[in-house]
Amino acid sequence: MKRHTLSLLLASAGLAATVTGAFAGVTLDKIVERGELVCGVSQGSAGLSLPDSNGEWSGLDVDYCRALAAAALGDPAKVRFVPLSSAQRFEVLEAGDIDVLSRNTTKTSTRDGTLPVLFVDTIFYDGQAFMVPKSLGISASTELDGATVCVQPGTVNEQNLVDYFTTNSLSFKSVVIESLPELESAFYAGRCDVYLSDASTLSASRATRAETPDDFVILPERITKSPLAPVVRSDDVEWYKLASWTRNILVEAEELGITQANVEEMKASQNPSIQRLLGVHEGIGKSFGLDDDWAARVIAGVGNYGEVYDRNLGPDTPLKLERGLNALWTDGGLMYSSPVQ
Amino acid sequence: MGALRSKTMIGATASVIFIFIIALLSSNGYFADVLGVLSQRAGFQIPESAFSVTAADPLYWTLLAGLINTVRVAVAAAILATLLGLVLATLRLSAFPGFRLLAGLVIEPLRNTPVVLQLFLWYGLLINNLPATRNAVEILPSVFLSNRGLALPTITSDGLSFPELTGFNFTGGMTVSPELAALLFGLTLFHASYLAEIFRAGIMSVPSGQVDAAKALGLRFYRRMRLVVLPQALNFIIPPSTNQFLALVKNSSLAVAIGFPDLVAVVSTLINQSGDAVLGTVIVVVAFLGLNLVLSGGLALYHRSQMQRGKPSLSVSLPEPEKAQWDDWVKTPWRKAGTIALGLLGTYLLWQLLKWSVVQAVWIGSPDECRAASGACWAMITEKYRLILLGPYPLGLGWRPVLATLVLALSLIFAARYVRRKPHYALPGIGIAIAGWYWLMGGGLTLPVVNIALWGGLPLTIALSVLSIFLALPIGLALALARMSPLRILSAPAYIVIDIFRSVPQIFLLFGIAILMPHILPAGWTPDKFWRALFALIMITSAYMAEVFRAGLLAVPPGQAEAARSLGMNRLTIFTLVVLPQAVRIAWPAIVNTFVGAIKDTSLVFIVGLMDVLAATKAAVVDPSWRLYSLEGYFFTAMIYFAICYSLARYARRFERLR
Repeated sequence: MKRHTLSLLLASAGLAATVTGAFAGVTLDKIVERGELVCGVSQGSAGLSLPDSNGEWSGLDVDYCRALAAAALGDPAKVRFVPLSSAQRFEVLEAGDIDVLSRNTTKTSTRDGTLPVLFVDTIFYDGQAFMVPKSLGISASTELDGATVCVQPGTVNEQNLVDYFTTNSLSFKSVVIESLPELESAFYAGRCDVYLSDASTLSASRATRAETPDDFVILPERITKSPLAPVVRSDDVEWYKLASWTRNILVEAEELGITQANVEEMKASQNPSIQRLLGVHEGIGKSFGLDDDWAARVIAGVGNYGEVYDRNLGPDTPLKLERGLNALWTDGGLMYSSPVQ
Repeated sequence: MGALRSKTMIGATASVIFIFIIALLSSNGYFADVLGVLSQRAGFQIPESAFSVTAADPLYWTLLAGLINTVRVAVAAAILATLLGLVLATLRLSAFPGFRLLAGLVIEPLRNTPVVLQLFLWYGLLINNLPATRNAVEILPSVFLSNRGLALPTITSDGLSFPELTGFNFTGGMTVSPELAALLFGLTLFHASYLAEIFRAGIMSVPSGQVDAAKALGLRFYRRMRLVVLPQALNFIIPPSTNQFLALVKNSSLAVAIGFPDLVAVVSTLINQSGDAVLGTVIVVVAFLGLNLVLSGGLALYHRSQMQRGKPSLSVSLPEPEKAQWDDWVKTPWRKAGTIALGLLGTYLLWQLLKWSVVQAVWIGSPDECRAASGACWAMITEKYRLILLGPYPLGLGWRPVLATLVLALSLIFAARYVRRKPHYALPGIGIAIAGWYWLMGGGLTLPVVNIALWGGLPLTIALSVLSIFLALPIGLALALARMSPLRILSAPAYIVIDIFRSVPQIFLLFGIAILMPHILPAGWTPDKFWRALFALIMITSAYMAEVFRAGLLAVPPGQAEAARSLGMNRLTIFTLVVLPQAVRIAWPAIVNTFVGAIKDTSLVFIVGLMDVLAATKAAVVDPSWRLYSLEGYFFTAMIYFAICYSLARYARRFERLR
């Protein structure tokens, strides 16, 4: 009898949980209950996600997770970071061990089509480029005839490399090593003249793995496009929406001129767009299962997109990466947020 | 001839049946399409080949270039290893104990560490410690050494061609890349150490009267060896060295780990690129079954033509080198001089080693302090030991894998002692030990959960070794019994499984099984790569174990079973109480050597992305600030492997002597 009551109790509790879950999102509930967001990041990629010697994480991908924690929990510090290799990242997300994957992941049709995940809008537009030692005196990739190129075998990079050199009737020798750290190690040891990868990977690698970063230069050409985006599971659309709009808030805040420093003053602004975003009148929080103050919390937590970018990748950082495609659409870039209204 | 023909038949059947199974597994009309796929543009370019290959060439052309790369590395390494093996064997058999000691010091570390670790070590030394192209050293006229390899002059149709530094690289002449050099060097040393022991056993099998008679005839050392000893020793040497050459061909596929484009590397690129694992697997399996057949067939023919007297020995047991008496060191003036010279040289080398590894070494400190010092940089280990030993296992929970490993290893060893006397306690004990290990590693119940993707380091290596060894014992025995069965329906599949798992390189089996497993299992059931790797290791070890068991079972005198039958025992009792214990007793040294092989094989799991102790070491040594100290990192891990494998090998040898 006793056991019967217990199972009934459990069943109704379970039912209750599902019902509330339908409104606020199961993932969000779990995060609130746990008191922290679990965020999958890379094992170390400067500018995107990298731990310092005290285990403190920083980077663009990391700040996105902090923004999400500020939205969901009201505190950008309540994040646990889980470093993942590129091979295990999707498995761990699908298994539910992390809430969001923010790990320089390119959105492609295959991934979108075959994996049970949803891609948030792009937070960093990347593309493949060539890095060479400055001492070679090369300024354009058309001068690379006869060079030895370090590249990972069987990757998109390798196919693009072949296509690029063939199209431009250049010859090359390749050194193919499966593991990325070893490949980079071979490049900096001088085994190859050229290292081909995404521009962000190249600049991160140069800043952290080269003995003297100034000895290497990234050639200006981009031979492919690769939009990097955070990823969530597709079984919780509520959480996906929250993740998407957290990204949009960062971009919209930059466009509206709201910064980490002035967010409180801006609440007094007469601009209706700013008032809506910061929840002064009829904010946007309720529709996402949050309060109206959440956008303000996100901006107070990490700043706007421009601030996040400059702090992690900009000219004042060791990476010295120009905004380029990542400038706001109003400045000729691709960064764009759907309207907040 | 009988053995050769049946081997050919089995190999052929194996490949036919394998292709048939794959054809059944794959969707309709798959194989009609293979020729189409093979003649498509490859789309990737391999770094070096015997003939010119570009990305625009058809796929079969690229695959052929890969196969030729495999064959040319294997042939070159086999020749070099044979020569070096002979030298080492001669040294080890020398009457002068100094030479024996010297050979032992070279052979034992090479035999008791994984060959892939040795390859990483040589490759790391070559690319990190040689000068850049522009500062290439001209070691001989027109021979340049740099971290891009060795540039040599060659003869072409237009006369001599000299290497010249133009633009980015040396052009003209020929270049031996660091990848090829590391592979050749590593394979040669590793297999020479095995061949040396085989040659030694073969030479010792020649009756000493033959040597004495040759001495009495006044033949000096060289002619004595060439005319009397070696021809007779060959009978004993060929069968085991055939196995060594087969292992060498398989090990040449470790090229994939350091970026040399052999067949397996080309196929793995193909699989990465196209996702077509079935075609790739068929190509590798058929190619290696074929190479295996050609090589074992060829050596069997040669063996027959050479075999004039004496019975061939199927297994070679390694006799211990004679214990040196002080008298042996100083018996003649020559030996006295040799002892003094070796003593001086040894002291000098020992002092240099001590200076490097202890006196001038940096134990704690930064990379800058290491650069300033001239000794070893153990600070790298001090900094990275946690990564090397435990991999990515979460900080603060390190006690769990340590405890789990102790529980697993100790209770399995304990259970093994009691499995015959008290099976009803031992068998559930094994189950409980494995469950306890899994709980401590993975968490759950009261412990925080640790995803299996984060398991790593030495606990992972030990768990893979221990589990694959223990599960391979029953499976190997079952395979051996099936293979010896008079029923075709049992013996044929066993033949095929054993043949495939012994002929195809271990590294490809791990890779192929990890990729193919989700296709073969029911949909939605995709075990983690840890389980896939473990399954592959169990199957590989089982196939080797099956042959060892079979040899042991065949060696039990048939009179034993007949005597037991006449006592009225039934077949099961005869097998478990009379035949099996004796077979295990006979085969025990070989079984333990299979354990050693299994432990070394776990070092290959990096290919499926597992962070075992070697993969974790690799992750540690590629840290840019410690890049120059890869030698120290690999040295540290090599010592761990050596400690485990060498003690097991000594243990096996003790049993050999008792026999």
